[in-house]
Amino acid sequence: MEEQLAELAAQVAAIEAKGNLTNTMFAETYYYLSIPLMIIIHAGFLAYEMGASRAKNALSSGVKNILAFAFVIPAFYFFGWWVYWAFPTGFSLSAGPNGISGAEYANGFALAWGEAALYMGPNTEDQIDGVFWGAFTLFAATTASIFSGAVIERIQTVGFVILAIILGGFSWTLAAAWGWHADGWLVQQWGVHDFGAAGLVHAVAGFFALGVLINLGPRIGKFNADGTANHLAGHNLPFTATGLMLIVVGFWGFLMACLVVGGEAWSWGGNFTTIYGTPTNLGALTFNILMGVAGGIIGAWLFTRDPFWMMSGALAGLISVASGLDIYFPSLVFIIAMVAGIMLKPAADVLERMGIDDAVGAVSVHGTMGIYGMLMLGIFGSGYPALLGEGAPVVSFMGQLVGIVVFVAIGFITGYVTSIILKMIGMLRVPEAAEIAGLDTVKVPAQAYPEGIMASPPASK
Amino acid sequence: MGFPFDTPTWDGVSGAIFIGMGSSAPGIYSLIAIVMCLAALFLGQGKESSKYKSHK
Repeated sequence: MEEQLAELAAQVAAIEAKGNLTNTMFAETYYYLSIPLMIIIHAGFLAYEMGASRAKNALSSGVKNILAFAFVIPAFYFFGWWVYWAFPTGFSLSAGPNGISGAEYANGFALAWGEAALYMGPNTEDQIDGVFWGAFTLFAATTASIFSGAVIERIQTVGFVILAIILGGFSWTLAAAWGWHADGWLVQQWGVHDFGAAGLVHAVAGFFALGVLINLGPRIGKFNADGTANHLAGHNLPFTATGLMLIVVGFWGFLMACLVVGGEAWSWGGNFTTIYGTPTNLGALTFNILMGVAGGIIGAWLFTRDPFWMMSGALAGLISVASGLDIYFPSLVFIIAMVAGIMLKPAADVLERMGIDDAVGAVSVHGTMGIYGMLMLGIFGSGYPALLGEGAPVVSFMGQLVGIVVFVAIGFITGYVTSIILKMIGMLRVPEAAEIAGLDTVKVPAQAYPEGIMASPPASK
Repeated sequence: MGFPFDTPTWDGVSGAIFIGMGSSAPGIYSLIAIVMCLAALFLGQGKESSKYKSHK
């Protein structure tokens, strides 16, 4: 009998070990697959920006966008990942209540030198740090792409790359450390809840762009002497609209990576949770992402009838509900997102009347809608626990307001200060002659349309 | 660099397995990579400036 019990126990242990390994491999695969999905965001931004540029600048806009993606990756490897884990409690770099933050903690695994390097490269006993880092790196690269579109057709390439490194490696990372990390002071003290990063990714990037745009100035020909604006149409609206749809596709990966898989040592429990440990699952996301995208498109269509603004409305709708995708009811999502779609074009018009030339509406789509989204959750989600466990802080309008003020400040200040320094040293704006000639002619050794864009001849009968 | 484990096979090997693990090499590689990124930006700026100058 004892032998049978021992054999049974051994079999149970073997099954349990297999189950644990399967769960670990699932978690690793889950985040791994979120990464190529998020790269679709960049394919989308690439198409979107090139299409929104005039033909004379199409390729230089593409070069700039591709370089942002490439430089943010090493920036996040060498210091962004460390910033996320070191800064949650603020600039003191001390450990937070969960003991998973602070400089000492980050020094143990988030640096590419010393003992920490053991976790920053191939390691058979660490199946999560690489894919976690990868997912966060793509969040970082997304912020750079959001900012990228606003400044097309007149920013210098290297100056832009430096700005992208600051935004992707530091600005948004600081916001995420404070408002996403479970030890983050905005989460712990104010109950900030920003599940899908409406504030800490979109608003940070949107207001970073605004800070840069103030120093960069409008494109030549955008504004008349009396202050009225001209529409500088991009050369390929179908390409732009398709790019925007690709961005929506990629955001499935982005939002998927905002979940924490259950059943692992680093998990909050046995099932999917938000990054705050609160309950959610892929079903919740599916209901609300789809309803948000639909609401945004319909809202934008009502008053614009323009495919550019309709697809921008899809993003606006998604961003407006991102903070609470985990707890909203889909019908409420649709209402919030449709209002976002309606507000989008007027918000962009206000900015234009202020003399700001945001070539693709990035400040309105990501910045204004990020603010709106954070505050909507403060109204509708008030009273919901913001973290797992007893005595957790709760979501409140005031908490969301404090959160978004901090996020906007991080984005705007870092963008404004970095860009004014670049301006002083002559690395921000291209010379007037180059802008008029077209940046492709000046600095890209390739032609976007060497044979022009010609109508196809009809087939012979 | 050599295989950094006592055994000549993968049997029983676990943990960090990358080339240079356990030595100062990863830090040196990282430093060189950072310098290469900075150099790329520096050279890129020089090239870009010369393109602008030639179009004045």
